[in-house]
Amino acid sequence: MQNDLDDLDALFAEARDEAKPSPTLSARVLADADRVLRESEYMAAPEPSGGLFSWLTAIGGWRGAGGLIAATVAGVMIGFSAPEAIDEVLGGQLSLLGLVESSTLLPGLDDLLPVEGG
Amino acid sequence: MDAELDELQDDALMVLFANGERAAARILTARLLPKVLSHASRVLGDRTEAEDVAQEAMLRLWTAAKDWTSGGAKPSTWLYTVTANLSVDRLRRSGRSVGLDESVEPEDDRPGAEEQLVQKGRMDALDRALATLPERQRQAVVLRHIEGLANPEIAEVLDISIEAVESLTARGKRNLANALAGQKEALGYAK
Repeated sequence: MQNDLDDLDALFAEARDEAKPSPTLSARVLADADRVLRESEYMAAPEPSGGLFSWLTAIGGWRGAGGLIAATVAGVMIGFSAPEAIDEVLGGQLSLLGLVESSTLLPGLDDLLPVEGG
Repeated sequence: MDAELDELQDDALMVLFANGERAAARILTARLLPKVLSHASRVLGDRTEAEDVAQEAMLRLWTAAKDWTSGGAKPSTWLYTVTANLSVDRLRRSGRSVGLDESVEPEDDRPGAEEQLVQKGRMDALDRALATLPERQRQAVVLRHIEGLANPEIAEVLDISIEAVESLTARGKRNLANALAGQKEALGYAK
């Protein structure tokens, strides 16, 4: 029985030396490691910071930017066109203060006001 | 760079890998893949299947790296556990598993067995003998006598007590010796 166990130990020693991975298997394993790293780098990539991207994110993305631009354009239009109409509503007080000048460069909003007796 | 990293422990390399250090993967592969492959080969008795299991176990190691903490679980012990479980799954799926109480007597006298052993060599004979052992005995014997793990580490891998490991390895070695008895000529140990 002892001899059998000795033979077994010799067999175990032989088995220990046997399992050398092939270059192909090692390459497969390292390719997996690379893929896992690439995926984790992609997942952990920081959001673009500063400049246009952070500004866009803060106002709600491109849709928010579109709304803001539309509101700005409308504000400029009103700024150019509305004072005369508002002056009328206020009974000419803005004209008296010299805050309103008549402009013919842009169409006014006077047409939108209700016409008396109309 | 690799030479510097080579001095680090496995768990430190895991943390480096998780932080994007590809050289750490090369060193861990060189250290751990032979162990995993050897274990899977002996337990499964099939080199191709063992390579698939080894690759899958290493992939799980890479994936687990992001949650690894230095000084925590030993990567090699963790990997042996994964390999043991993957191997047992394969054995069970293929119907080659031997349950705890179903130890198979080696078929020493079937026709042509000795000629087959001569052709396939001693390692095949060992694999065949190992295949007759119940799963737990087989795992314990391979981890103890081929991989050279200490009993406490085997207990951790197999999630059993150290006393159970001692019992499994002793019975396993005895059963292996019995399974290989009478095949000394085929094994090349005839005096």
